[in-house]
Amino acid sequence: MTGLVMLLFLTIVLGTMLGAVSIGWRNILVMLFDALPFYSSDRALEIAPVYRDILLQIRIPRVLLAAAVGSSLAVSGAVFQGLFRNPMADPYVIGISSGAALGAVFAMLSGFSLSVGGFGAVPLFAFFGGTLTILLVYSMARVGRAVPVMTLLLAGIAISSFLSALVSLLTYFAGEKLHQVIFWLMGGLSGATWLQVKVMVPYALIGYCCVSLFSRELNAMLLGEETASHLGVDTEKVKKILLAGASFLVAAAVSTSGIIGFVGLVVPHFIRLVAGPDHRFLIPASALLGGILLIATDTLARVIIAPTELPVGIITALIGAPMFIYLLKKRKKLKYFGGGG
Amino acid sequence: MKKGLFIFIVLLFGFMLLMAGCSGTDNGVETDLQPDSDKVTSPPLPEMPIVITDQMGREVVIEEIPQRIISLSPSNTEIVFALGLGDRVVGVTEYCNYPAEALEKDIVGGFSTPNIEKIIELEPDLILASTIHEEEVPRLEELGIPVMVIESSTVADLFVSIQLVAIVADVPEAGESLVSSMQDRINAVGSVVAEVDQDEKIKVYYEVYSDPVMTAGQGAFINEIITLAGGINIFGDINENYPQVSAEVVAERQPDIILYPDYHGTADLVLDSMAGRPGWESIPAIQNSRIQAASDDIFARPGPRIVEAIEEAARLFYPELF
Repeated sequence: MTGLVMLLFLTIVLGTMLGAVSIGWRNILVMLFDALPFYSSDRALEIAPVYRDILLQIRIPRVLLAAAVGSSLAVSGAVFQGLFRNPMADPYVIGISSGAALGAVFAMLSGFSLSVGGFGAVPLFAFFGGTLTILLVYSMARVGRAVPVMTLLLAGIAISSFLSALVSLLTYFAGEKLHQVIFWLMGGLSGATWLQVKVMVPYALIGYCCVSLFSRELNAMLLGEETASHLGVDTEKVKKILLAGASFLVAAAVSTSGIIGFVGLVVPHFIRLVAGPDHRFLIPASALLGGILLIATDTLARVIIAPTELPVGIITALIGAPMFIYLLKKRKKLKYFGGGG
Repeated sequence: MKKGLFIFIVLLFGFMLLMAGCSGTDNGVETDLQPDSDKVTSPPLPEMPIVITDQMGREVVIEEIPQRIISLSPSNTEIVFALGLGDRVVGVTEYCNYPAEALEKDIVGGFSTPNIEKIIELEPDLILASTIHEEEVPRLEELGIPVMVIESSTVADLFVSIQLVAIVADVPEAGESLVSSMQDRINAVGSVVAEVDQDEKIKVYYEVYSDPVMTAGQGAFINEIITLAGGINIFGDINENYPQVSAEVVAERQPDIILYPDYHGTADLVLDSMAGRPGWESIPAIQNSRIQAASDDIFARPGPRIVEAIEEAARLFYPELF
């Protein structure tokens, strides 16, 4: 865990130092110290203001947003995998992404120009699209007071397919807004601003706390719901809170950066392969590794063929998948979900 | 070997071009037409049937002078009308909004989604397609309709395309006079901006798309428009058509003027977002509020109105000279 914290710190430093424009680490240090409220340096005045803008307004917010988004995706992936006891589950498994995509595409095509708190229509609609989808899936899957996990999963898949079809339909008629739609669906962090960071980080923290408080109960749920309730876990309540927390994380991530795949699916498995399925460790470690992975891949996407940028999702899968396969081959025996899993 | 012209253009294709007609990288065009030559020489006029090899490497045989032409792209439509062949056009796409007469023609579908049945129903004897129609072209050919693929990624290509259409439609003089008048207007702009010293030239950033930040690179028609209008495209060094670039680099390269395509009704939104873009405060174009909308239809279509785009760009770059 300490290692991961160190690694996260290191990737943040590297992500700040590397970019399409080379600023030089000395200048970066000078400007960072100069940006502190209680210290100002004369050396900072010698650096062209454009570099300060690049560092403080473009690069650092992007690195921090990558950390928040990567963490949120990895944590929610871990929760969904545990909750559904399904290694294939990812943050988007019950349709949040389709709902968010529908909201976003609808906002793009209708050309709404409203903005709330500095956010345009697209992220707002994406957020609400995602959260409404979860509510819909939840209420569809509910039988009396109980929500069977399998029903939830199937309802999620059904609704997700339906919403995806609507997204495709809208995309087909997008005309000259087609590229806008496609880029949003590909996801990316290139539009990162301090405003997004200021909103995303609290959201990520709230969602994370909400989820991590119940990691012990999530461990019990791995043994099956019946066993968990014998152990004194209020399974319905725990499910509700975990779903809400994880969905909240995903909706926030999707609305700031579109649909970034792979991170949420693979990072939790990575941690399980290395350290086993105990959620008390899995959730914080996933948060750290998710942040690390997304900062690292986004930094590569920014510098690999600078000044051209690549979509981050491509790099994430290109680098993450081989690493993951290597780990799979190395560990013959998997202990995924505790017990006999 | 074969009569006629040989044109080989390898196109890299991007969906960015949905509205724009297309552009691509160009592997050299065997032609004696150069946009900077004052005298326009036309290719030798072959006898009917005309056999040409187009950009898809297909031989096109034109048996008779076409009287019912269908255009499958807005730029092709503009070429045909500019040659005075508007009366022979029987079908266009839903995006063909210029000239006004084009709006009265039957619509055969969208740019990337032409409807084959609708095309056949109009009984065309020539179809002017684009490289996006890779799927439709062979099907139309099977039905015995001659299809010519028109595709220009440079002004030189465009001149060739215009001449080709003119020859096939048996109006070679119209082609020559259109090309030479375009060439004259480009030269006129060129001679004015030639007065600007190389190091005084305006640095231009053309924002094709805002999120992610996307611009026009070396392969894009826009790049040539900027150059011919006497500007320097700050991303002219990138060997791609429409690269996604880092916002950092835009700030670092300090453009003097920013252009963005005015898709219908988005101008105000772009302008607002651009002025408040974090990290771009020190860009001269932003400090001096030199952010200009360029009419996308004119700037992005490789058609006869490209000269208007060049004139417009030159006026925006050097208002004191025009």
